[in-house]
Amino acid sequence: MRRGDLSLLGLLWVACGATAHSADPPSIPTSPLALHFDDSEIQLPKAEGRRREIPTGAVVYLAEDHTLPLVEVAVALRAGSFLEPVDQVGLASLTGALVRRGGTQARSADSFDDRVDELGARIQSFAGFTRSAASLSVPTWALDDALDLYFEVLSSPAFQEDRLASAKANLRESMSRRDQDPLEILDREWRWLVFGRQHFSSSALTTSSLDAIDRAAVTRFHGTYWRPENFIIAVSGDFRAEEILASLEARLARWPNPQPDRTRDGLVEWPPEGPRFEAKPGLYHYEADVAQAKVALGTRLSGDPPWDSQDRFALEVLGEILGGSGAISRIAGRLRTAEGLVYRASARLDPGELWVGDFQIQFDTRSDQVARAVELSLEELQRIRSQPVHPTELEVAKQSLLGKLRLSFDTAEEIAGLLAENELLGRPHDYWNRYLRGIEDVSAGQVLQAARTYLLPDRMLYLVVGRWNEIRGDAPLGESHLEEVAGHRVQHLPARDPLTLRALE
Amino acid sequence: MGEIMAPSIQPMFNESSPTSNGCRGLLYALVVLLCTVPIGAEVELTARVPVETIQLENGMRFLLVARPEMTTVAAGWVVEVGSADEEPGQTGLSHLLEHLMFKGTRNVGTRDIERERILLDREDRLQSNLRALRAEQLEVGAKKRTQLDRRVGHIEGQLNQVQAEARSISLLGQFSLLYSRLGAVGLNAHTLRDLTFYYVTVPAEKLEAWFWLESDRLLEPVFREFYKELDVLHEERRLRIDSNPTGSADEQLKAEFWDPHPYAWDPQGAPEDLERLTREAARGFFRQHYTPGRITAALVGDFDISQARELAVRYFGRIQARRSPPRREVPWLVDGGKEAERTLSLECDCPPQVQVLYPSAAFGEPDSRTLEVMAAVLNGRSGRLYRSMVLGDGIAFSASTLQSPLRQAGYFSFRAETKGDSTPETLLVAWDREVARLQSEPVTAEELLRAKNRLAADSFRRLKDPSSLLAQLLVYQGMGDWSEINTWPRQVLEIDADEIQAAARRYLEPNRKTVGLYNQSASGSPPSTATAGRGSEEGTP
Repeated sequence: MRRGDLSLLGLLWVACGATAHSADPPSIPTSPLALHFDDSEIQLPKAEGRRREIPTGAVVYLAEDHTLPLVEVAVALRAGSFLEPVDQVGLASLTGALVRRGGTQARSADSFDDRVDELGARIQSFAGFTRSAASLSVPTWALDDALDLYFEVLSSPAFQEDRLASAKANLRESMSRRDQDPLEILDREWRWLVFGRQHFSSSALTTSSLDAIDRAAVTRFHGTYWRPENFIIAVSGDFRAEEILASLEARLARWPNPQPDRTRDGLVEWPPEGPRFEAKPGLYHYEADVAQAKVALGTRLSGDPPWDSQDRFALEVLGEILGGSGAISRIAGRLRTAEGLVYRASARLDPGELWVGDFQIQFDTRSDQVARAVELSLEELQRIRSQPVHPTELEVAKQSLLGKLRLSFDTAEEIAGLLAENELLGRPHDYWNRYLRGIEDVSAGQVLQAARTYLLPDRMLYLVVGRWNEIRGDAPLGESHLEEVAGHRVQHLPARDPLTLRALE
Repeated sequence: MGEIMAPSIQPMFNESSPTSNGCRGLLYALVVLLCTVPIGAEVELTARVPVETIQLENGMRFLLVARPEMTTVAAGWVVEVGSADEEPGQTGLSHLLEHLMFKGTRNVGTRDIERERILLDREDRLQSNLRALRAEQLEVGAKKRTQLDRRVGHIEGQLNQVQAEARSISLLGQFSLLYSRLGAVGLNAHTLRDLTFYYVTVPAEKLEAWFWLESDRLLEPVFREFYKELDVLHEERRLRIDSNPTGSADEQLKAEFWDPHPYAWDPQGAPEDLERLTREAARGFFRQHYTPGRITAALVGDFDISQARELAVRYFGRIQARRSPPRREVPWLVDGGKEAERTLSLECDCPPQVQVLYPSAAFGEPDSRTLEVMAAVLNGRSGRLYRSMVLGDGIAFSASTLQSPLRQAGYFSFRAETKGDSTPETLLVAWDREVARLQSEPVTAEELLRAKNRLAADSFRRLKDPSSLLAQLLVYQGMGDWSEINTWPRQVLEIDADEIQAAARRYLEPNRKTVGLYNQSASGSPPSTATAGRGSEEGTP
C-alpha cells in the first residue's frame, strides 16, 4: 500500500465505524459517532442592537455579560506602519507602545502606573502594520476611575522624554538580538522573499529609522490619527449599555481640538494597498548554527478573492485539510504522525484580510532530515492536486472549521471584538453567516480546483535556516539532495547586521 | 478578615446591579463574591468559583463548573503522576506516555486489534534485539562490526515488514480525527513534574462523545507507533531545549539546584534515557499510575450537572478500581540541605542574563502566597524592579521574579536580561540590593495596596477564559487540591508587610541561592529560537 493512503483509510473507518457493534454494554456504542446528538445550529451574534454611534464619530459595539465583575474596553483605529514616512519606520509602533507608557499632561508616568495598579486595572497600547489599539481591563467597582485614566492617556499622552529614551534603548537592545532567533530570521527572510522589502508590512526597524523618531514626531502622529472619529470601540462584560454609552460620550466629547465634521473616511485612506511584488521561485538558505533546521516552503497566493467568494471558502477548507487540525492534517499527519520527522509542522493558506496572503508549510527538523521532509511535503501537495479529497476528510475539515468559528464567538469579549474587527477591516457584518454557509457548501471538486489553482509547484520558494553542510545531503550527481528535491540550485542569503539589517560581507 | 456576604451560589445572572460602595447584591453567575475588609481606600472583593464535586465508586473525581452562557464545554482530566515519579535512567517516560495516549485504543485506530497486537509484540522483540546489537557494535573492533552490520541489516529488514503490516491495519490519527469530526477544538496535553493533564473543547451538545473517547482511552489504550513517537520526542527536545536560546543552560541550572531531588530532570527526559524506553515500560507505568483514584476530571461550560453525573457513572464507572503505590516523597528541606551559595557560569546562544533560584514554599503552604505577594511588589510597571533596573539604572532589558510552588517543594526565582554595557554580575549586585531592602524594611502600605489590588483583580481575570479555568482546576488538583483556587485570593489579601519581610529573611538568604550567570558562548555561534525571558515589558512594540 502506498504510504500516502494511510490517512484515507482512517477516514473510511470513521465512515463505517458508526454501525459496528461489539461486546460493550448495550448503552455504550462502539463509536462515539453512533451517539445521538441533538441538532444544534451555530448561533452567530448579530450586529443589530449592539452597534452604536457616538456623536463625536466613534462607533461602539457592546456585549453585556455579568458572569464576572469585570469590564473590558478596547479601542482600535486605522493607523499603523502604512501611514509612516519611509525614513521613520517604527513611528506608528513606537507611538502605539508609548501612549500608555509616557504619562499624561496631568500626571507623570510613574504616578499614572501607580494609579493603574491601585485600581487593579490593566491598560495596554500597541500598533501594528494596519491598526493601532489600546485596551482597558478593570474590575467593575473601579470602572469610572479607570475610564478617566484610560481616556486621559488616550487623549493627552505626554510621551515623557525619559520613557521615550527607555523604550528606544530597549528597542535597540532587542534589535541587537535579532539574529539570535532562527525563527525570527525565517519569518523576516520569508516575508522579504515573498512580499518584497518595499511594502510596509515587510519594513523593519533599523538604527537610523529609530534615530529619526523624536518626541515631536510621536506627538504629531498621535495627534493626527488617535482621534475619536477614527475610533472603533468594543466594550464587554459587567456594565449597563446606556450607562456606559453616556460615560463614553462624555469622555470623548472632552477631546482636545475637536473636529466635528471629520469622519473616519476623511482621515485615513482605506484599505491600504497590498504588496506588489513578483516573488522569485528558488531554494534559499540562511546560515545559522542551530541544532534543528527551520524550514519554510510555499508561494504567494495570486488573485484577490473578495469576502464572499466561494473560492475563499474553498481555500479555507483546503488550508484546513493541509494544515488545520494538528497531528491529523495532511502535512503534520505525514511528517509527524507517520514518519516521526518533526514535532511541529504547520501549513497555512492565508486568503488575507486586506490583501491576499501566502501559502506556507513550516517545520523544524534535524538538519539531515530536511531534504526528506521537503520531499514528503511535495508528495502531499502532488496528492492533493491530483485526487479529490475523500468525502469524510472533507466533512472533518468543515466540522473543524465550524467548531473554531463557534468557539471564536463564545464569550462576550469575543463577540464585541469580532464585530468591531468587521468594522475596522470593512468586512460586512453578515460575512460570518456567509462563511458558515460557504464552508458547508464547499465540494470536493472545489477543493481540488483550489489546490490546482493556488498550490503551484513551479512557483514554489524554499527557505532553510540552519547549518548548510548538514542540511544539503548528498545526491549521486554532485548536487545536494535538497537541491535535487527542490529542483533549484541553492542561493545563499547574506548574513545581516542585526542593527541595520544590511548584508554583511 | 472580612465576612462572607453572599455565600449562596447563584445559578443565573441576577438582575440586581452590583455597586461599588458595598457588598450587597453582588451576585454573579460564576463566582460568589467575598467582601473583605477594605484596604486603603478600596473595597476589596475576591472570587470564589462554585464547583460541584462528584466521586465515583472507583475513586475517580469530577469537578463541575456550569457556565450556561456558553455553547461549548472545556473538558479535561488530570492524573497525579509526572516526571518526578520516574526512576533515574527512565526519564521522559511520563511524557512519552502522554504522547502515546493519543494513539488510539482497541476500539479506535485499528481494523483488527488481535492481529495488530501480535505484530506489535513482534516489533518489540525485534527492536530489543536491534538495540542490543547496536550497543554491541559500539564496543567491538572493525572485523566483528562487519558481522554485526549484517545481522543488524537482517533485523531491520524484518522490522520493516512487521511495521508495514502493522500500519496497514492501524488507522493513524484516528483519535484526534474523531474529535475534529465532532467540531472539537484545542485537543492537547501537558506533562509537568508533578502531574499530566489532557484537555479539549467540545460543542456543548456533543459532550457525551468526550465521555466516550476519554473513558475509552483510559480503559484500554494501545500504544501504536511507539518507535516513531520516540523520534518525535527527540525533535520536541531539540525544539524546546537544544535550539531554545536558554534551554540547555536552564536545564543545567535546574539540575544543579534540585539535585538530588527527582525535580532535577526536565519532563522532556534525557536523550540517552529516551533510547532505553520500551513499550512494556510505558504499559507498566500506565497500569501503575493511571488509576481512577489518581485521576480527576473537570468540565467548564454549558452542561446539565445531573446529566454530567449520570454520564460520569455510565462511562468512567466502567474503569476498575486499582491500587496505586503511594507517591514517592523525597525530602527537600528548605531550611536544611545545601548551605553554601552556588554559582554556575553558563554558556548560551542568548542575551547575557542572570537567574537566581532559592528553595521556597510548596503548593498550598501559606508562605507560598506570601512570596507571591512579594513578587507582585517587585514585578509590574509600578514594581520595584522595573523602576530601579529597567528605568532607573537602565541596566536591564527585563527583570522579574516568580514564586513557583510545586507539590513537594517550591522555588523563588529572579531573572533579568542585560541592556547596553551591563553584565549578569551587575544585575546580580542590583538584585542583592533589592533583597537587602526587602529584608531590612517592610514594604510600604502603597506598594502593598497596589500589589493586592492587582492580585484581587487577577483572581477574576483568570476565571474569564473557560479553558484556562479548566487548566487551573486540573493543575491545582494534580498538585494536591483544586480548592486552592478559592482559598488563594482570600488568603493573599490577609498578608501584611511584616509577613513579607519575614519571608524575605527566611527564604532569600544569600547562602541558600543558586546563581546562573548566562553569557554568550565563546564560539560566538549566534542563533537559536524564541527570545527567552518572561516579564519583558518593553520588548518590540
